[in-house]
Amino acid sequence: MVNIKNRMISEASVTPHPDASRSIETLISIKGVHKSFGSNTVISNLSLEVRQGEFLSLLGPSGCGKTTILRLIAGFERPDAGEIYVSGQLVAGDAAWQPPEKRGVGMVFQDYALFPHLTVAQNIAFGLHRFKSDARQRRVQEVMDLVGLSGLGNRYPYELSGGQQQRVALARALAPGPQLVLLDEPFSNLDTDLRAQIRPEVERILREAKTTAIFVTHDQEEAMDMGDRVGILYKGCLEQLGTPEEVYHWPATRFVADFVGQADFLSGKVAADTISTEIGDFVNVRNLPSGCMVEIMLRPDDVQLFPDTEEGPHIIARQFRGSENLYTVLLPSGKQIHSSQSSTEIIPIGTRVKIKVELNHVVAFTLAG
Amino acid sequence: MAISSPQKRTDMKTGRRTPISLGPPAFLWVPALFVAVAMLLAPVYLVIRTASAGQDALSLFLRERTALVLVRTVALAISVTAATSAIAIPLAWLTVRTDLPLRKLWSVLTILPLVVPSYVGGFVLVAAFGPRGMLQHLLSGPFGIERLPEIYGFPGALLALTLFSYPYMLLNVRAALAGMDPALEEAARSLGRGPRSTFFHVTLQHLRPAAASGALLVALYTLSDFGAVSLLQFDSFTRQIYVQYQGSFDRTLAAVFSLVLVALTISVLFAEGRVRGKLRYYRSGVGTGRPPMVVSLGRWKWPALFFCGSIVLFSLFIPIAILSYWLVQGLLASIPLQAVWAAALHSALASGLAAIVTVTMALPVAILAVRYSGRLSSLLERISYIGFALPGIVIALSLVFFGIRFATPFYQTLGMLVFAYMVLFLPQAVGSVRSSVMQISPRLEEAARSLGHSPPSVLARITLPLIRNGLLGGAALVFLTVMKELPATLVLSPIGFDTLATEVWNATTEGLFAQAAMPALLLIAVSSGAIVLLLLQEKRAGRVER
Amino acid sequence: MTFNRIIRMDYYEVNVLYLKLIKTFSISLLSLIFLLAACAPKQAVTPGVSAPASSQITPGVSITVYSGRSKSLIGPLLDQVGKDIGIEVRVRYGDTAQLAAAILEEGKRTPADVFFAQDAGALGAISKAGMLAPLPDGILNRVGTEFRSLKGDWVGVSGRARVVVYNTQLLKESDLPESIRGFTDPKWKGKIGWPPTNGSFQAFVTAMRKIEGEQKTIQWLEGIKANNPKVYKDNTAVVLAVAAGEVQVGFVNHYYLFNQIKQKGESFTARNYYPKKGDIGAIMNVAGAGILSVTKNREASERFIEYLLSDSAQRYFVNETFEYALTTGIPTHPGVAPLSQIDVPKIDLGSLEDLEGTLKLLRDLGIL
Repeated sequence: MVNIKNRMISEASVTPHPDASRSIETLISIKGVHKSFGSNTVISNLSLEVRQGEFLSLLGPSGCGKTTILRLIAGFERPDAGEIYVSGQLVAGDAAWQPPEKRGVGMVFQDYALFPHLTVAQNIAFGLHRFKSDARQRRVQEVMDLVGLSGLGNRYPYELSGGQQQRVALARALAPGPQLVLLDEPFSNLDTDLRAQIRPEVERILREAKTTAIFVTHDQEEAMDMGDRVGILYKGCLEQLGTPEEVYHWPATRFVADFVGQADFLSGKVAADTISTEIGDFVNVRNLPSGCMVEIMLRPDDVQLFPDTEEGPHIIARQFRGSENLYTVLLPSGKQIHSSQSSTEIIPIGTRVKIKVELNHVVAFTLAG
Repeated sequence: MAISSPQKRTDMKTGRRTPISLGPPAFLWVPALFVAVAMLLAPVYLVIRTASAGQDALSLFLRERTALVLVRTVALAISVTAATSAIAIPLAWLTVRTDLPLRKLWSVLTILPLVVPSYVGGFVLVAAFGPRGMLQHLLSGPFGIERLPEIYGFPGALLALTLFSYPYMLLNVRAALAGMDPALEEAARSLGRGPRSTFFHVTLQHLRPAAASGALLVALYTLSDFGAVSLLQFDSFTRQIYVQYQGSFDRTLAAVFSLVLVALTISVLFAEGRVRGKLRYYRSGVGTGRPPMVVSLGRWKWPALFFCGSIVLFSLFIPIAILSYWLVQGLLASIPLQAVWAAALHSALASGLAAIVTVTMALPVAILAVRYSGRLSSLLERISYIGFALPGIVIALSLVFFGIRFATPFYQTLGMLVFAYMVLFLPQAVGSVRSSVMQISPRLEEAARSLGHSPPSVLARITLPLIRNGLLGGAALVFLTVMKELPATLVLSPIGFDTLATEVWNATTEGLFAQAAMPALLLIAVSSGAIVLLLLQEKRAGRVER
Repeated sequence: MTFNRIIRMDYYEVNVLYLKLIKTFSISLLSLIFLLAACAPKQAVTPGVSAPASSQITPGVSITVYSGRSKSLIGPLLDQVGKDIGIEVRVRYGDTAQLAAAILEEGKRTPADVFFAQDAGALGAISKAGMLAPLPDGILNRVGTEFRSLKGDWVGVSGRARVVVYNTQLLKESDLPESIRGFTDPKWKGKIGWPPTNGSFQAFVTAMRKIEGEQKTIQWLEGIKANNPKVYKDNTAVVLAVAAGEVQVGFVNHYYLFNQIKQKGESFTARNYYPKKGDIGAIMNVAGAGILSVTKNREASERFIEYLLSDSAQRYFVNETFEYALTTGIPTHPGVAPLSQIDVPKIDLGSLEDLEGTLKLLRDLGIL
C-alpha cells in the first residue's frame, strides 16, 4: 500500500449547512470525547453538535466507532475524556454523570431488543411507568396509531414480522416523548424491499413526532436519504460533517471521497494554473504550489466517453445497472477509471474511446511526499 | 470539525485521568462482597488451624501415603467425570432430540437419581452388588455363583459416584441442547456432513461449555463426597480428612489436608476456566422459536430404551426397591416405625429457605460475572466454588469457629444453618443463573434503561422475569442437595431440628435399616415432588414465551 | 379494548406486583428466619414437658447435651430423663468425633453442658483440653474405677464388650481360636473384616498396648495386616459383611449384632464370640459422659448423669441397646452373654485417654 497521507485541500470545508443557522437551538453537544476499550481506541477527540429537530446520520465502515457514539450519548458508555451535553446540561464528563434513565434519550436497537416476555402494548408502555394509568393507555394508543400497529397490542414480539418488530421498537422509543431518538442500524435486519418501504415511513413518524434523531448506518444511500446532515466516521475520527450534497461533491478527505459514492483517483502534477494528468489538464482552483503531486477525484458521472477513435484508452468491462451502464476504461498507463453512460446505447467491450471530463469543481488531494 | 493530529491524541492520552467504567451498582456489589467474605471463612479458618501445626503434623502429612491418596483421589475425580459424561450426554440427546418412546417420562426419571443421597446409595449398592449381596443370592441358585467380584475400592466408588452424580451433568447438557439453534445443525447437514459427523463436530462442540460446568460440579462433588467412598472402602482425600477428625480429634492435620483440597479445587477451577474462557461468548441460540430437529431412532429404539432403562434401574429403582424391602422387613418384624413428618417438614423448610437464599446470593455473583466481566468478578465467581469442594464437616467447623465468636446470637439457629448451606452449595445456583443471564442480550437491559428505568427496576422487570427458568433450576438443584446434606446439619442445626437426612443417618449409623427406610423413602418422595414441580413450572414458562 | 386492559392490569400491576412480591418475600423470609431462630431451640423437647411437683430443681432449667450416641437408640431414654428429673434436656445428636471437634472449636463459649460420647477416646480428648469439670464422688463411685476417668472428669454409663463376630454358616464356634492372636494364622487370610477408623477399635488397640506392650501389639497388627483384612466403615458394616459371608470373622463391639437380630430375626447368620481366658480381645469398652467446665447448669447436669446411672436408665441400656450395665445389680439381657460367662481383662479405661500413640502406630503400619 502506498503511503498516502490524506490531507483535505478541497473547497469543501466547515461550510455550514445553509438551513442550519446558529439561531436554532443546539440539542446535543459533544466536546472532545475520547473513548477506548483497553488499548483499542474507539473514539478520538470527537466534537459534534446536533440541532433541535435535526436528523443526523452517522456513516462509516464497521468498526469505525459509530455505535459507540450512540452508546456514549445514551449513557451506556462513559467517555474517558471530554464532555457530552444534552439541552445544555452536562450529562457526561469529569464533573457530572447522568445515568441513561435520566437523560430522556430514546434508543432503537439494531436487533430491536424487544422484551420477549411482554406484549406489544406492554413493551410500548414500558417507558411510561411514571404516567397515570389512563394517560399511559392513551399514549400507548396514540403511539401505536402513529406507527400503524393498531390492533396488535396483544401480540408478543415473536408473533410479529420483522417490519412490525421494527415499528414496535420505534414506538417504544417514542412513547415517553424523548427529545432525542438514537437509531442503531435500524434497517439492517430488514430485507431490501421492506427497507425501501419502511424508511420513508420511519422518517415520517420521526418528523411527525417532532423529535431529533441520530442514526447510525453503514449504508450510504440510507444515510444520504434520511439525514439532514451526514457525519462520516473512520477509525474513531469524524472525517467530515455536512449535508449529503457537501459530502458527496466536496469530500473533505480521500477516505470520504472513496467511501461515499464511487470515485477514481487520477494522479497529476501541479503547474502554475493547471493540474496536468494523463487525460488532460484541470484548473488549479486552490492555488496548489507548483510541482506538487496530487490525486484528482473523478466520479463516474463526470466522465464522458466518445467511441469514435483509433487509439487511446479502451473499454475492458461493462456493468449493466438498469438506467445506465458502468464502463471500466483502461488508460495507457494501466490505470482504470469508471464512467457511467445512459443504457440506451451500448459501447462494446474493446472499443477505443476518447475521454472527456467535465468537472463543476475540481477535488484534489495531495500525495504525501 | 474534528481532525486530530497524532500529537494532539497523545496530549489527550496523557492529559486524561484514569478511565471510569460504568461500575456495578451497589445493590450488586454489596451482596457480592458478602458472598466473597462468606466463602473465604473456611479457607481463613483452615489457615488459622494450620498455623498451629507442629512438625509432627507436617511430617505426617508429608508421608508417601498422602501423595498416593492424592493421586488416587484425582484419578477418581477424573474417572467419575468421564463416566458421567458418557452417561449424561447420550441421555440428554435421547431425551431432548429423539423420538424415544415415553420421552417425557424418561426426562423425569433420569434426573431423579439426584435425590438419592450417596450414603444411602452406597449402602444399597453394597447390599445389592456386594460380593455376597442380593444379586449373588439371585445367581447362587441357578448358576451356583458363590461370590461376585469385589465391588469395593475404586470400581465401587466410581460406580456409586457416577450413578448418583450424573444428573448434575445431565441437567446442564439438557438445557444447552434444548436451547440450541437448529440452524447450526442444519447448516452442517447442508455442508455435506452426515448426522454422525454433525453430532460430533457441531452438536457436541456446542455442548462443551455446558458439559464443562456440569463436569466441574461432578468433579467437585467427587472431591468432597464422604458417604459413598467410605461405604465402598475407597481411601480418598475427603475420607482422610474424616479419619483425622475420627481418630485423633486432630483438627490441625485435618486442616492441612483440607487446605490441599482447596488447592486442588483451585486447580480444577483453573482448568475449567481455561476451557470456558475461550468459549465465553459461546451462547446458545436465542431468538429463534423453532424447535430443534427430532431424530428418528428407527431400529436403534430398542438399544436406546435399554440404555435409559438400565441407568434408571441401577440409579433409581434398585435403591427404592431395596429401601422398600427394608421397610417391609421391618414391618414384618413388627419394629415400631414412626412416621417422620416433623423431620420431613424441617427438611422441606430448611431446603426451601436455603434454595431461596442461595439463589438470591447467586444472582449478584452471576450478573457481575456476565455483565461486568473482569478479573475481580471472575475471581468472585471462582471463590464461590470453594465451599462445594470442601467436605461438609470442614465448612461446619469453620462456621462453628467464626459463628460462636462473632455471631453468637445466631449460633446454631436456622439462619446459621441456611447460611452454611449457602456456603456449601452456592455454585450450583451460580452456574444455573449465570448461563441464563448469558442468554439475555444486554441490549434488552439497555433498552429498559433508555426508557427511564433505574438499574434495580430493570433487574426486577426485565432480567428476573427473563431468567426465571434459570432461577428455578438453580433453586431446585440447591433444594435437592440440601435435602441430603448431613455433616453441617448435625453440627449447626437448632437443637431438635431433625431432618430426613439426620433421621436416615441416626438409623443407619446403628445398622437399623428398617428405621432408615422410612425417612429415606420420604426424602426421595419429597425431592421427587420438588423436581416434578420444577418441570411443571418450566413447561408453563415455556408456554408463555413460545 | 383488550390491550388497554392489559396495559392497565397486566403490565403495570404485574410489574408492581413483581416488586411487591420481592419485597414481601424478603421481609417474610427474614422474619421467618428470625422467628425460627428464636423459636426452634425452645421447641426442641416434646412439648408439655414440665417439671413434676416432686422435682427439686427449679422449673425452666434446661441443659444442652451433645450426644454422640444416636437418637434411634437412646432418643426415648433422653426424652424420659427430662420428664423424670424435671429439667428440659435439649439434645444435639451427631457423630461422636465430629461433636468432639465442634466442642473443641467452640471452646469456652460452647453451648453444651454435657457431652455424652460413644467412646472413651472422645471424652479423653475433651478432658485433655481441660474442658471437663470434675464429677462428684457420688457419681464416680457408682461405677468401678476401671470405667471412669483417672482425673475424675468423666464416667462410663454403659458397657460394650469387644467381641469377634463370625458367620454361623461358614464357621462353628469351635473353629475360632481362644485368643484373637490366633487370627494372625495365615489360614485366616482374606477372611477378616475390621473397622480401623472406628473409635472403639482404636480404644481396643490402646488397651492392647497398655496390657501387652508395644511389641506384642505391633506383632498382632502386622500379623492381621498380613492376612489382608477388609477395611469397613464401622462396626455395623463389619457385622453385615460377616453375616453375608463377605468375610468370615470381624472385630467389633458386641451389641451391633443384636440390632440386626432384632430386625432380621434369629435366622441372622452371624453370632458373637468372646475370646477366652481374659484375652485382650474381650475387653470392655464404655460409652460415657462428662460435664463441660463452663456450664452454668452444673447441678442439673449432674442430675442428668446421675439419672444415666440410675437403675431405670441402666435397665434401658441393657434391654433396649443390648449393652452391659456398669452399676451393680442389673441383670444382662437374656440374649447377651452375661459378664459372669466372659473373661473380661482388667484395665482402667481412664488410661486409654491417650490415643496418640495408637494412631501413630496405626499410621506407621499403614493401617490408617
